[in-house]
Amino acid sequence: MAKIIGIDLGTTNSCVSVMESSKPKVIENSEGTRTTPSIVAYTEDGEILVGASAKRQAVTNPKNTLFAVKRLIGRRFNEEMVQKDIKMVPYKIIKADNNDAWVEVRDQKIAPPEISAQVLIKMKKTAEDYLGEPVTDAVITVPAYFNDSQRQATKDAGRIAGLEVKRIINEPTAAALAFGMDKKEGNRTVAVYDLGGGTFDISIIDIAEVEGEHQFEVLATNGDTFLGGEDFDLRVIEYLVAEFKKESGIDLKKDMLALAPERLSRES
Amino acid sequence: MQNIQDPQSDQPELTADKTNTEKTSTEDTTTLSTAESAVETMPSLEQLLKKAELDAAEHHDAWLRAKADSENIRKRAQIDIANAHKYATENFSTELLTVMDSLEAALAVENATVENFKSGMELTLKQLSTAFDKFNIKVINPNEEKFDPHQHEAMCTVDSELAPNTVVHVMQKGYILNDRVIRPALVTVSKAKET
Repeated sequence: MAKIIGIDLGTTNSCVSVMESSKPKVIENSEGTRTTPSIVAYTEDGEILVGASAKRQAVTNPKNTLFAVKRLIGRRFNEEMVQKDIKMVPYKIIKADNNDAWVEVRDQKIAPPEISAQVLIKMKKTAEDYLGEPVTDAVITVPAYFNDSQRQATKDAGRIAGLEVKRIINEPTAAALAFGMDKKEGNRTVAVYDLGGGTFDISIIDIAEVEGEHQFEVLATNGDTFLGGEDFDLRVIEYLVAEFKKESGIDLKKDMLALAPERLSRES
Repeated sequence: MQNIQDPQSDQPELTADKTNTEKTSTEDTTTLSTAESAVETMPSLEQLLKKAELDAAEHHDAWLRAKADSENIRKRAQIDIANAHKYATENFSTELLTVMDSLEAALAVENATVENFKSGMELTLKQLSTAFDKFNIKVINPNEEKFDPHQHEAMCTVDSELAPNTVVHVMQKGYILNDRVIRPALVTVSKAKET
């Protein structure tokens, strides 16, 4: 019998799981990791790379390596978030004929749902390899602040990937469910902090017990859509480089490039 | 009503004529017939119902047992996996013990010359390489090969006389365990053609 999968389509990383004996099991991908980078790259040879391999070649192919596409999905080109993103990413963000934000790689204009679909295809395959049978239905989570257009675009991405998206649910609600907030009696108000790779969100959720069932309502959300684990990584690296420079006088950022060809000529 | 007759396919000749007459009489009966009323040959509705109930009970039983079975299998699998994690490194660890011994022995030598240390280290390296071979750990050292994002991680691009998208320098070797890349090689790559 076909199983339904749950997908966390994140800004930086994605994750897929399936229920096994009423317990969720996160599935490892072909590289053996439980999360997959939400990165899609279009190579010179016409190959489409998704996940770790796309991430590894990012510096060699910056204009055609797409990341954080979640910041664009379902948005219009003129939105403030999109305009901010244009200044931060090396790939080209363009205005489509319908005024949506699209990307342009290797002279091809592509809609964000098509990019996210590539990630979803990999998550689908990961699940199918584990389960040993085809997968057609999925539940995908989105930020609580996503509007109708963004939710629909996420559903479209699922459809392009060959998945029937049975539900789009809010990420903080899913988190609350995962922590068993629906197993406790009575009403409660919960604050969910979500510090991800690319974004930091807080949501206040009201959980009400109505006739034995729990109803979840998102009361408020806020956050920084340009702050996440990757930013912390960069700051730590900057600090280490500065400290190293203080102690040794070597600027690692410059010298990494300088040392490489020098070593090559020494070895040959 | 006709389809209730289908399971009685083992007595086809009997069900044929009498079915319609049987139907009308059994509709009046309110009590379920037990073993004493039985059996002649024609199954009454009560008997069919009883059989269906027995079947249902049997299936329910089998289902419960299958459910318990699968729960046991799951629990057993979890124990197996936990043990696999705990003891997975046992075989490989045993191989590494000789390397540990060699390193300690080398450091214990008094007044060792640099030459001694060097040859000692080379022997120890050989021991470690043998251990790697035994466990199918292969090195990724793609000097001047075409850049492959499945096995290499590009740290930066540099100008080079080599063809575009070729590995100029291996900053750190990578390793493959069986068919899984456990660590990609860290490389610098020659710049791609300007598009």
